[in-house]
Amino acid sequence: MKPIAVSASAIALAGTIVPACLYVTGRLDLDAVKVWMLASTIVWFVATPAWMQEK
Amino acid sequence: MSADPGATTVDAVGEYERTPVPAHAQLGLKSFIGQYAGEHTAGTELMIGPLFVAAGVGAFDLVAGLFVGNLLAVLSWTFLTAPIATRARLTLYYQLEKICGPRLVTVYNLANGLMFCCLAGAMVSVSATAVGVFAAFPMPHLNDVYPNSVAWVVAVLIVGAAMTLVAAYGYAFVAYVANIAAPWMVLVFIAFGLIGLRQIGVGSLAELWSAAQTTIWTGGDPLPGQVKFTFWHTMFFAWFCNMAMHIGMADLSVLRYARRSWYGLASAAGMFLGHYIAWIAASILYVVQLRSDPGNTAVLPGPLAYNACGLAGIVCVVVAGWTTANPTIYRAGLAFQGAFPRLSRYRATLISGGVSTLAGLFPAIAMRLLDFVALYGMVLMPMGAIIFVDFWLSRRLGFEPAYAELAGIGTNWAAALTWFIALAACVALVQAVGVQIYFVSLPGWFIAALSYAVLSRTLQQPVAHLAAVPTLGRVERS
Repeated sequence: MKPIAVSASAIALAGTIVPACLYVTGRLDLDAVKVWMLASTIVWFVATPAWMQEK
Repeated sequence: MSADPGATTVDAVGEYERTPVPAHAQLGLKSFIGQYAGEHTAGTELMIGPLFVAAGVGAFDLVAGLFVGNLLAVLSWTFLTAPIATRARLTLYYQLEKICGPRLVTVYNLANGLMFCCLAGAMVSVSATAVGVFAAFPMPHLNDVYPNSVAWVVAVLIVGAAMTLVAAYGYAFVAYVANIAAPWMVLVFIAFGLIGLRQIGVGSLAELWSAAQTTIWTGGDPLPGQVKFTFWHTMFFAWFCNMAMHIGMADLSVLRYARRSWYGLASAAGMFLGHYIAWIAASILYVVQLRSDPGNTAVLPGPLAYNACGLAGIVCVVVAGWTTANPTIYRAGLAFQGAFPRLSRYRATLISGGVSTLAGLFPAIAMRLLDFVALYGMVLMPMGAIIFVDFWLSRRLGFEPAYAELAGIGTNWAAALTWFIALAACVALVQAVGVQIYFVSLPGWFIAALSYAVLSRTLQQPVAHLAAVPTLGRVERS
């Protein structure tokens, strides 16, 4: 379970920044960037608590 | 900025308040890198970045000034704070109590608590601007001092009350959320910058510097009511915006857990992610707003973030404001509790949250954040100079370190007068000589150091029972 959660978090981080990079180069429009970033945000906050332990 | 004055999982635990941190409780470098990166990527970065644009800074002055200033801040943590922290391994408050006496520490706690409340108030304001994205109401303008609408007051009261209750009841949960959010938040800040760049017409790296000079930080006149920023303003602001933490020694409480003093370099993660990339990104978003509506000079992080990144941007503003306001309100509560020991921590946190919310009603604190942060560092800086001189130079200069503890006195008048003299000198330099507040803390530190050395030599009485006094917490200066 933990490796899946870690992978999902990594994908979510990529989904947060890659769309913005694609927008800069003109390969993605802003509305799509916003959708990708929101989806990635949700995935990050769902997946990360599963493996990042509370100190 | 840091916004957050040292919110940390280590000192939130509240252990070893009056004893040195033992070896088994000390932490590795990784803990401090994560902590500094998270703390200094805060909601207030979205206020500070745009204010540089409003101050009419030029591209070179901003990029180079921030680089040098942040580097000096990292070196201050590494060579001023960390060496004392890792030798004494005491909290700031206990170290001050030994030097200054409990009564003076009470005054310091009050000043510190009020400053924390104002800072947390700015964070409440930042989060309230996110509410304004969905509930269309008049939001504050750049030069507003007082709240400009009933709806703004209601939004701030709701956000402030929620933050206060969470700080009082759920500190640990929000600290946990802050840890989770930190890596994502840094990337959202970078996304702000990238999206903003595209919106002002930058499509490649080759166009970046040209756009920086001609479109983003053009170096013209500041907006009405703002101070013109040069390289020196930018550099000193970046260096001193967390002055209370490094030169002022507040992070003794944090870095006392570090195994090695060079872990102070971990502050670079916070400075160069939060106080470099995040400030630059927030600047760019503000330029996008000014280009689309030159008359709209309001610095409102909620709308800025929403326009760039949609709902993810709003979540970022709320999380960044909340996760940094939470420990700041909690810290203010601790400071008030230090001043009034009979106050429960719960009540102290509620009081500090209430004061923070009241401060958040006044947009002047957030809109004049550059000035407030400089004032914050100036007020607390003399205590850092006192600790530095007391720790490293006292014996060489012929007076006793930790004199209040040795003499068993409530107030070390050498320290009290030093604080007063340094602040009076700073105020005089600003008011009479015309030195801007961003610069005054540098001469102020030397005035404080010199005053404390001279006054200690003059005012210290021979303490007959020195040999009999327990030396708990006194350390070798190796």
